[in-house]
Amino acid sequence: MGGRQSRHRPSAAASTVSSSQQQPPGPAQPAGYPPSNVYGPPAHYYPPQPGTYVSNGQLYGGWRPPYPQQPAPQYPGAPPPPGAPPPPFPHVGPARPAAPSGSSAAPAPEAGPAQELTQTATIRNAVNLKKNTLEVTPLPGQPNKLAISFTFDASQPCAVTTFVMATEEPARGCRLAPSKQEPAPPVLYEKGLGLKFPPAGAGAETAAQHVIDMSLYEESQLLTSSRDTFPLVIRLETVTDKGRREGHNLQELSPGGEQQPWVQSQTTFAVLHREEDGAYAVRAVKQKIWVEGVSYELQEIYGLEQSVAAARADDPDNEERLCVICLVNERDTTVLPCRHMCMCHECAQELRKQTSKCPICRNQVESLLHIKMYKGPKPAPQQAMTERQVADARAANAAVEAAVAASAPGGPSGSGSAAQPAAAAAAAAATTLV
Amino acid sequence: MAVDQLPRRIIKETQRLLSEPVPGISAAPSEENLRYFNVIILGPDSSPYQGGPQHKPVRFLTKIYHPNVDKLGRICLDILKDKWSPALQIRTVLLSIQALMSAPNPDDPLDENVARHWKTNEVDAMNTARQWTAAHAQPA
Repeated sequence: MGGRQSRHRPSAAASTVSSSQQQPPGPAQPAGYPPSNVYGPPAHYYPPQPGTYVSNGQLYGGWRPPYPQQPAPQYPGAPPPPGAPPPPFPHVGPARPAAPSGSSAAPAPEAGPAQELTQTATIRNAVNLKKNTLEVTPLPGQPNKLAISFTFDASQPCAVTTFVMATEEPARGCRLAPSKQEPAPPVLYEKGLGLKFPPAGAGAETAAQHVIDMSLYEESQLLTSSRDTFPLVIRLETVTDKGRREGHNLQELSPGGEQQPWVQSQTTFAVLHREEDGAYAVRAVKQKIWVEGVSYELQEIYGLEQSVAAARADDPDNEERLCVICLVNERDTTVLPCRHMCMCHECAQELRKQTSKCPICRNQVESLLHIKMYKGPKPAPQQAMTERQVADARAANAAVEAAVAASAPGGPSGSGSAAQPAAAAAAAAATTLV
Repeated sequence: MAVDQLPRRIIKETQRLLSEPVPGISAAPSEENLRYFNVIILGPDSSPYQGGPQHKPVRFLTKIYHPNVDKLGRICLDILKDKWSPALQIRTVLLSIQALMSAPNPDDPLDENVARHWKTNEVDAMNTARQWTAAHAQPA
C-alpha cells in the first residue's frame, strides 16, 4: 500500500554514508555482498578506520560509486592483502586516542553481532551545509553572473570555497579541479550555527567573487553534470583537533587542493537547472565528508528523523517511532540498501528468517544496520525546512559498506558537553542540524 | 483466548481499530478467537456495492459479484499474496479491500466468468453486482 510508504519521506537530517574503503572479505562482511573489488572505488583506497566518532546529527556510511559501475579491473594501487588483516567490518571498536573531535567514549559494541546485522559507529561532522538553503541568484546589474548563497553550521572555525564546473579527483585526496573559473579565495568563518554565506559583513565584495560566471560556459555545459564533474561545488573545511595540535591552520589550505588527513571537510555537489520562468536554480545532489583521510558520501535514512522526533516528543503510542512489525519496540534498524529505518533489531532478525524483502518497499534486503538511538534532551526548535525528495533509488542499489551514526543534540555551541553523554551511551541521534 | 497471550501488536491494532475506526469499515475481534476479526465494509459510494455491508475475514462471507472475488469469497489481492509485507496492518488491508470494491480489476481476475462479464459489458455487470448487493448484503 502506498499510503504506508508515504510516511517515510527522506529526511535531510539523517544520512548514511558508505566509506571509501574497500572491504576485504572479512568474517563480519554481510552475506550477499559482491566481491568488494567489483564495486569498490576505482582509484583510491584508505585503510579501514577503526575509530569511533561522534557527529552532529548526520549518519555516515561508506563511499560508493554514484553510478553503476562496470566490473573494473582491480586498481593497481588497491590494497594488497596486508600482513596484518585489517580490522573486521563493522568498524566498531575501542576509540583510538587520536579520534577526531575528542570523542573519547566509544559505543560499546554488542558482543558478537549477527552476521547480517551491522552495528554503527559515529562520526562527528564539524561542518554542515544545509542543502535546502543553497541558492543562486543573478548578481544585481550583472545578469551573466549567478551569486551563490547558503546557510551552514560549523562547530570549528572553517574555510568556505566555491568552485564552478569542478572535477573531483578521488585519487588525489578528493582534490577539486576547476575548469575555467579559478576559485575565489576562501572565506574564513568562526564557529557558529546558521552561518550565512556570503558573510553579512563583507557581503557585496565576497558575493561578487563567489559567482558562477555564465559567460565562460556554454549553457548546456552548466546544465549537465558527469560522474565527477559538477557545475557547482562548495567545500567547507576545518582543521581537526589533532591537526591543530600539530600546528596546522586554515591558512595553509589552498582552494580545492588535495585534502590532508588533518583536514575535516564537507563538500556539496550541486547541479543547475532552469525553472519554468527561465531563472536558474540550483540543487544539491551529493554531499561528501572527509575525515582522517577517508571520503564518505552522505545518504539519507528514511524514517530516522520522524523516529527521533517522536521519541523526543515522548509519545509512547506514536507509531512513527515504533517498529512496523511488533508495534512495541522502537525502530533502530535500517534496511540496506534501501535505507528504510522501520524495524527493531529483534523483528529484523526474525524477518531475515522469513523473507529477504524490505517491509516498506519490498526491495531485496542486503544487510541490516543497527543504529543506536540517543534520546537526548529536546533540541532547540528546529528550523522549518521543506525537504526535497531525494528518492535516489538507483543509487541506493549499490552496496553500502559501512555506516556510521552520529549525534549532537546541542549543536556546536553545546556539543562539547552534549555529545559526550551521547557517545558514552553509545548513542546516535539525528535531526539537530541540516 | 486470554488477552495477555496475544502479541502486543494485535492488541494495539485492535485498540486502534476500535478507537479510530476507518470510515466505512467496522472491525471487531471475534469473541472465540481474538486473532479473528468480524469486519463490515460498507459498499463504497458509487460502487455497485453501495448500501450493502460486506462481512468477511479476508474472505467475503457475503456473496458478492466481483471479478476479483470467487464464489467462496476468497479475494485476489496482491498484498494478501506475494506483495504481503509485515508493515501492513489490519487497517491497511481493509482499506485495500475497500478500494478493490471501488475499483474492480477484471484484468487480473479470480472469477473468469464475472471478469468476462465485466470486460464485455461493464454496465450490465455492475447491475448484476447491484442486484447481488440488494439480495445478499443486509443493510446495517
